[in-house]
Amino acid sequence: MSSVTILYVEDEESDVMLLQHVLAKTGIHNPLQTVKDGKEAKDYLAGNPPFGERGLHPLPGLVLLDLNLPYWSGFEVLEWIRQQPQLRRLPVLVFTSSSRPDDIARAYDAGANAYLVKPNALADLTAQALALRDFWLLQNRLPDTLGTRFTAPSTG
Amino acid sequence: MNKSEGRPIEILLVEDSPSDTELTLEALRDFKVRNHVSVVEDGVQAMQFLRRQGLYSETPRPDMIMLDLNLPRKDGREVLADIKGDDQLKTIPIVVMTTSRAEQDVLRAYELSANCYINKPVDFNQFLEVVRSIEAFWLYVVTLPPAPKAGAG
Amino acid sequence: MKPAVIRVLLVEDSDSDALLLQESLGETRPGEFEFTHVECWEEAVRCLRQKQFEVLLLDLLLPDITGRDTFLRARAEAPHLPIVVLTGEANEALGLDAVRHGIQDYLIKGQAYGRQTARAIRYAIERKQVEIALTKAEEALRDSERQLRDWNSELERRVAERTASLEETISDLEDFSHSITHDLRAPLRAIRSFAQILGEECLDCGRPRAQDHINRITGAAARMDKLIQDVLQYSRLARSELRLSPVDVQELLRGIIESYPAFQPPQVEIQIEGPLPHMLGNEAALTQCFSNLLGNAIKFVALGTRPRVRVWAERMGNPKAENRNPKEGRSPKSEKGDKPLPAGAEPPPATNPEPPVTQHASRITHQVSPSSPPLTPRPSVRLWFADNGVGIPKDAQERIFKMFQRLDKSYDGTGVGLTVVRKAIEKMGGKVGLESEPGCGSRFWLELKAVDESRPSGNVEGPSG
Repeated sequence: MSSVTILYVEDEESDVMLLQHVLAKTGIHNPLQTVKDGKEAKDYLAGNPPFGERGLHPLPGLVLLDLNLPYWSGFEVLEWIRQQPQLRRLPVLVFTSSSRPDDIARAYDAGANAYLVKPNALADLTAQALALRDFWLLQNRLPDTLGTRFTAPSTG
Repeated sequence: MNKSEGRPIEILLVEDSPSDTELTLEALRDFKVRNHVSVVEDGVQAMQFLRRQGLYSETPRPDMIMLDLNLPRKDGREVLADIKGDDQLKTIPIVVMTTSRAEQDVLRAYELSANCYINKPVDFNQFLEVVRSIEAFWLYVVTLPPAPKAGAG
Repeated sequence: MKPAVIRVLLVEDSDSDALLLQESLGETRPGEFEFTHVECWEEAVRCLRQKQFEVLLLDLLLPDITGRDTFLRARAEAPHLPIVVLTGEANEALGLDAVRHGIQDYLIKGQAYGRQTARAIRYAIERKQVEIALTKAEEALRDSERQLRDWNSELERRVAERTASLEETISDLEDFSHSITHDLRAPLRAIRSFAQILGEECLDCGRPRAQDHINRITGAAARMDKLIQDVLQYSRLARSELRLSPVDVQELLRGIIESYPAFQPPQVEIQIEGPLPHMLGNEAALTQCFSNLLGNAIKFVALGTRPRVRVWAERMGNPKAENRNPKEGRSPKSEKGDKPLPAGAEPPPATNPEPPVTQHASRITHQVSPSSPPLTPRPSVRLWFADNGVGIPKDAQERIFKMFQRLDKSYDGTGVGLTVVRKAIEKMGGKVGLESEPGCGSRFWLELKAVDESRPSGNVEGPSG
């Protein structure tokens, strides 16, 4: 299973805690880094302070992105990522509570790899984490543009 | 979660290997989320299907595309570029499924805005497992994009 | 009343001609005409600017101007003055030309003196007045046309403004309801999820009652979440225009059943007595209605009973036609009550001792949307959903279509499902109703227009409301 760092861009602390709980429960031990707004997300990805130390804050191989963020919206972060030459291929999964068709269409249009609606029941969140694990971390080939070592998908 | 709301999810499978096609159809057939698979065997047919041209004038718009890279007549990479370059089609998620393990191909596919990249296993059971994980993620957990409102032309 | 004197400006360079004219006119009409005589155009202009005249008599051969120029200049100089030109016998063409150019008349010297001249002058004056009046009328007409066009543009502008403002309001409402439901559901998500985590952590804590309490928390939060979603769906439905098209309801039902394991054996048994005729409706809204009706049908069963639902169609359209399904489950009372109201009929008076149940429900529909169009003679189809549930007492049957009404809180539900069904069907121009008795199950029906399955499909706007 790929051991890339996952970057979670989310301002709601409870949602972060829930995800941490569920990742642990489904055996996903990838390092999880969280930032709480668009500016921090850009700084993290660009390696700006206070995220300059790549040993402490490695570049993620997968981004989970909420849309409802203060200062810069999730869309703006996504658009920014797709404009950076080194980050263009970075898989971004939008992870938001909005199920509005306009938001969904815009996210895919702006280059999100997938759109996930935050479920309200823990069981559904667990199912999402499992699907994420099996597909993105086990089967999917992540682009190795970021210098992170990825493990070949396990055959088991 | 993806609520099909009574309508099956439309999948376009672009695959020239009959055995791989058969395996994929088999795996998709029993999935808990209703889906309908259309199959085309080369890149030219794929574009005709998506653009509703020729024989394919009445095709449904796919909610998701599974695309092999090595196709006759028109290469899968070209198809990928064409789809993601078309405003009306680019939001459709594309799951690249291919035998190529080359790092360059992976990079290139993501460069062309493929949504993800899957290596087809040789082993039959593993193949099923892969399709199951595709189903669980793309057909169940993911919310697929709505069709765009009709633009000019 | 003594007519006013007609002041004539006579422009004539020949004294003899002038004298002749004045004398003859003076003879015919004594006192009627008052002459001012000048002998060239320059003097005439001076006079015109100094004095008022009723008519200008103008010789076309003057020392300082002749022919066409004369009458053209005269018209320009005195546009509101009737002009009669005097021309020689050989020059009748010139006279005609003058008339074509807006001169009132011409007189041939030596021919028309005396009475004819007097008449010519008077007619000239009258004609000029008519001409002026006509011109004024034309101007007034053009003004009103312009006014009308302006008002029209103004009206169109206001309509466009109002429409834009209305569309904006609807869009704002859409945004508002999305925000509200989003903001309401977010804390619920936290409550549910963390309560569930607590439940997991508490499994081994040796406090069984704690589990029960936690389950109540998650249960309540789940119900509230569903309620918010249902209300959102209802408000979205209430705001929208439903496009109608022929719907294959049998296929739709099959799809719904296939999509939800809860509707499949062995848990429940749903029997569709097809083939069901196509109906005119909105596919998405009907999907919701069928889901809600089926969901209700399988929910409200007595403990330990396996839910069974039967779906069949009844063709309506002729009030006398008894084209019905003679299967069991219908009491004699409901046979009578099944008769649909004839087109445009008023509901039965309240003093009717035993109003049949179906009319009861129909009456509700009529009351709720008094502006809905009366039954048209076009054939319709009534789709029945009969279940083996606990049944609904008569006095509750009116209420259950209302928002938030739940009859028995021991059963799951938000109380919005039937409200959505009724609203949706009404928006499609149809009706809903119910037959039920406690212990005998319930039979819900919805009625929409039938579709001639041989005709090509088209899109139709439903009545809004």
